[in-house]
Parts: sequence; structure tokens; C-alpha cells
Amino acid sequence: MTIVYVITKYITVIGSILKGFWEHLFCRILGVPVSDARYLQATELCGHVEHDFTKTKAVTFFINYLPGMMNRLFGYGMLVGGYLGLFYMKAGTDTVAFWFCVVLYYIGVSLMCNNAPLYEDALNNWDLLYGKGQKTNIFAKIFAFIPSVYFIVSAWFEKNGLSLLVWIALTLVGIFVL
Amino acid sequence: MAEDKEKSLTDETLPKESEETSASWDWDATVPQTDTSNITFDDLQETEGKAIEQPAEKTEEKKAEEEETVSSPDDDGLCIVCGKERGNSPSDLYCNACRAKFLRTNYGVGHIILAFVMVIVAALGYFVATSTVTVSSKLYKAEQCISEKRYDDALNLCSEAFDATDKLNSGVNAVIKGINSNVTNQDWFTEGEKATHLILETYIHRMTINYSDRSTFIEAVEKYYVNGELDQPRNADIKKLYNVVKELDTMASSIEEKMNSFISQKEDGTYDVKYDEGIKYLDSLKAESDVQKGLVDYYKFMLAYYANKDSKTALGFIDNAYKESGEYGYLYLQNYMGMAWQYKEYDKVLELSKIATELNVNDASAYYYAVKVYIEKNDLETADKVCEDMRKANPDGIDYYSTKAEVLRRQNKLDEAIEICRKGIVAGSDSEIYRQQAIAYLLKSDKENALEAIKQSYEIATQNQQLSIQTANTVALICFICDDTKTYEEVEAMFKQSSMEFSDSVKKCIKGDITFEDIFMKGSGEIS
Repeated sequence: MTIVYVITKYITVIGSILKGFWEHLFCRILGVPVSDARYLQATELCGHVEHDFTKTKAVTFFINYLPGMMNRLFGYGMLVGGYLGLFYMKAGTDTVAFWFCVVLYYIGVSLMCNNAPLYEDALNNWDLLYGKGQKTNIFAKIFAFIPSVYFIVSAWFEKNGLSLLVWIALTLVGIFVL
Repeated sequence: MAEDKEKSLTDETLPKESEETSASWDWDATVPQTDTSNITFDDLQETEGKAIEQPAEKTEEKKAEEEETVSSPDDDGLCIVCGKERGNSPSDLYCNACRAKFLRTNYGVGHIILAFVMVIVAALGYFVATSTVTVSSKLYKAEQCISEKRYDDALNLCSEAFDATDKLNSGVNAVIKGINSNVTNQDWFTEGEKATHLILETYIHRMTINYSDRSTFIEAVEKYYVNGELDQPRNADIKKLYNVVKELDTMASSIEEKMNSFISQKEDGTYDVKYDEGIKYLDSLKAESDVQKGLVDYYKFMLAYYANKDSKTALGFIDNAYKESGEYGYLYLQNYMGMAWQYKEYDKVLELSKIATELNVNDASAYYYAVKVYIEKNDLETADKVCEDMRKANPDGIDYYSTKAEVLRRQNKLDEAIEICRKGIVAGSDSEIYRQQAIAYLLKSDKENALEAIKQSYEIATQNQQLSIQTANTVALICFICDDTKTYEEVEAMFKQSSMEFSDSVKKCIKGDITFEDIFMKGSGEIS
């Protein structure tokens, strides 16, 4: 499965590098040691950084949440602009607007394919918040529930190279259905 | 580190499936790849020495602490990078020195540049997204209008989308030109094929047989649907209409060429029509399809109309054209309705108006003719009701104001008529609103305001090159009554130049045979 994962990460190279960068940045901000800052490598760490295992709930949650959020935040605009331009309005291939939308759509997809934390980090976050014997504030549990589920699901999708597949499917819907 | 992670992830508090997935994880790959070349042999020896010495120095307290922190039998309490004692380091893996080093790992210049570029691209992306959403929301609304059979609204929204795109492109090009004046203008934004498709889809339901509509439709299809686009299943209806219109257009061109020899205009403005010859020619044409037969009947109607045949004959032909054309009968609907009104077949007008509004909810002319019929029938209450229906179907349409003003005038509610015209002028004045206001003012004997309003009406109509005979007659009459000789003579000269005369009612009113009230408050309430 690693090979599929690595291929998807290389296809979405801009998002992979950027996700690694945000992870690195937030690790430094939150005081988490980063021992390997190579964002692109042919391992499961591709698109991530190797950081110390986080032990506190807040730091773990934010290390899971913030890097992905940055990619989502950056990606939404490009994705919406590109998708609507290409598939809803059907920009003609002979226009500059078409190629403009293609570039924006690719970068948008690339960023959105890299918005999940490392699967192990997502599980760690779940364990710290909802694991047996964890005394977590009920409000924190409620507040963090949906994001925590999202971390695990999206990380699982990403780990298995399915996030790109989802976007390919949405692109095909755009081409053939809209 | 790997063991630590594994332990935590296989802890019994975690869900089962996560254990399974973590089992397939390549932990070897997660071993830190830090460059350890800066650790010297001396460092290692020193660490080794300390490691040997330490057990002897360990206090009971430290032992207890170590027992507590050691979670794995493999954890030897040493930094996994340098092998030194971790001591009081908050990390499970590194000593304080290594931890401090890892807290300051470099980002890499390339990555910082990429992040910076992405900030700019993301900002650009949001700008594009906002602009695209603005344009597509208009197209989406247009799509909704089409599904609700509000074709005029759909067309307006599409043209708004075109305007918005033009505005965006000119804005972006102006900014780029500000940076480099040699750059050529580009279409950075586009309303895409969607807008064209929606516009052409409105044509499927609101097109007429008139030459201008035919040529606009054919030109648009040929311009926008190249490289087999028209053969796409989504364009099936457009293709079907295109083939029909193209077929009709070819036939109409050849008929029109010949028709000139049957209908010729005389100097006095009347027509010399070789009716029988024309009908014979049209009968001789071999119409292969029903739509072609419909077109032939439509030209028979034209002959009958110019030959001043009775309504039964003339309307009979256009009725045939409408019926024979089957699903494309709507091509003749507007003309049929207008002619039925002209031939005073009021029930037919109402029947066609109903069909027209069912086909296109926004069809303002259908409501207009219905109102006129009810006014003619002196059923002012129903006329008023239809007026409100017209308003409901076209909330932004300005035809409502002039039509409503006419109904109010006939109900002798002159102040209300003036007021509704005032609202119409604010909403987007046209020549007819000012004309209705002028009539209402004059009926109230307010000559000053009447003259001012009718002059506005005249000015707008001439500016837009839409001066109708009705407006020109009203201008002449009101200017005559209000002693504006200059404008009156100007309009009179215009009539003479076109070999035309004022209408009978205007001539009678000028002579003093009938009053202004007789024209506008009785009968049809209009200049005949």
C-alpha cells in the first residue's frame, strides 16, 4: 500500500510539500521536536514530518488539525474556482480562462488530497481524547468529536491513496454528469 | 520511538480496527533520518563511559522514576540519536540537547518560497472563486428560471453573467496593462459554454419566425457549437431546433425573394398586392415537411394581410401555420396574437395569450394583449387583475407600469395613474410610461406637466429609434393642445415625409369634432 500512497503524494506534490511544511511549522510553534524534516520521501512519512510523539491533548489535537486546515483553507478557493469554471460553466479549451482553471483545480485538488494528519497521529488524538481512563472535559470531547472522526477517516483515506481517487471520481462527475 | 508508538497504538483503550491497521504500518520507515555525522567518536565514548558509570551513581529516587517512566522493556533511557542519558528531558526519545536541536529543525528556503507563493496563489484562488461563484450563481438562477418556464428572466440573467465576465476581464486586463502596457487583452474569466447553452435553450421556447430571430439563432449556434459540440446529447434540443430553423430559413429566403414581385408599396403608403398570383405561387411550392407547410401558410397570411383580406381569411392562414407546425407552432404565436388583436378577434387573443403565458411565464406581450382586450371589453376589474399577474410574472419588468397606468386611467383614477408612472420612471423609464403620464396629466387639465412628459416620451422614443405611430400621434395631439407649435410641426413634417397622415381620431380632435377625453376615456381608450 505504501507504493500507492507514495504515488498519490508525488502526483499531488505541491500539496504534499506544503502539508509537510505546515506540519513542520506548527510543530515548531507548539514545541514538538521534529527529527526528520524531509517532506518528500518514498515512505509513509511522505508529505509529513517525523515529530516526537505528542502527549498532551491540546498539542495533539492542534498538530492534527492546523496543518490540514491550512491546506484546506488555501485549497478551497482554487478548488471552487477551478471546478465551477471547468465543469459548471464549461470554459472553452481555446480560452486562457480554461488553462487558468486547470492550474487552479490541480493545485486545489493537490492541497485537498493532503489535508489529513498521519494515521498514527489521528489515532493518538482519539486515544487521548476518548480512550479509556482519559479524563477529558465533556465540552472538549463534544467540540473535538467531529474533527477527531474526520482526522481518522481522512487519514485512513490518504494512507490508502483513496483521497486522490475521490477527487478523480468528482472530476469525472464534473466532466460527464454536470 | 517506533516501539513507543507501537505500544501506544496497541494499547487496549484503542479500537480494534486501529490495531489491525497499525500492524501493517512500516515502522522502519519512521525511524528518524537525522544526520548523525556531527556526533564524534569521543562523544560516543563519553556517553558510553557515563552509561557505565551511571548505574553506580543512581539514587533510589532516580530508580523509582525510571521504573515509572519506562514503559517498554526495550527502553534503556538513552537518547535514540546520540545514545546519551535522556535525563530530565521531556521527550521519550531524545536527550535535552538533541531535543533542543530538533525544536529548531530548518524549514529549507525552497519550502518557505513555495509557502509564500502558495499564499499568493491561494489569494488568487479566492478571487477567482468569488468571481466564478458570482457568474455561476447567475447561470444557476437562469437554469432555475428555465425549469420554471421563465425564459425572459433566464435570458436577463445570462446577459448579466456576460456583463459580469466582461467587467472582470476588463478589470484584470487593466491591472495587467498597468504593469506592462504591451500585454494583449485576455479572457481570464469566461461565462463558458453554459451561458451560451442556456441562452439558446431559451430560444427553444421563445423564438419567433421573424428574420431577426432566425438569423440570431443560426449565427449563435454556428459560432458557439464547433467541433461536433452540437452533436453532444445535452445539445439535442438545440440541434433539433437548429435543423428546423435552418430548413425554414432557406425556404423563407427563396419565398421572400419572390414575394417582392407580389407585394409592392405605393407612394401613398398603401400596398399593391397580386394576391391570386401570390397564392398560386405559394400553392405550387412543394413543402416536404409540416413545418415547411406551416411556413407556406404563413406567407399566404402575409399576402392576405397586405391585400386587406377579411380577418377570417388572413387569420385562417396564420392559424394553419400555427397548427401545421406542431411542436414548433410557437414560432408563429407572437405574430398570431398581434394580428388577432389587430383584426379585433378578442376571444382569439385571450386564447392565444393563455397559451403564450403557459409556454413562457414571462411573456409580457401576452399579458399586455390580454389587458388591452379586457379594457376593450370594458372589464376593467379583470384587466386590473391581469395587470397584477403581469407584475407577478415579471417583477422587474417595466411594461407593468404603463399597462397599469392605462387601466387606472380608464378607471378614472388619474392621480393613481400618474403615481404609478412616477414609480415606473424610477424603476427604469421608457417612452410609453411618459406617454401614459402625459395623457393622465392632460385629462387632469395639467397642461404644463403633460407637455413635459410627452416631450420626454418623444425624446426617449427617437433616441432609441422606437417611435411608434401611436406615440407620434399622441405627441402631435398633446403638443397641439398645449400650444407647442414647434414640436407639433416637427411631428407633422415627419408624417408627411413618410407619406403618412395623423390617425382619424387625432385629426378629428384637432378639428374639434371630438374631445381628448373621447379618445382616451371611451372605447378602446387609445388613438385609433
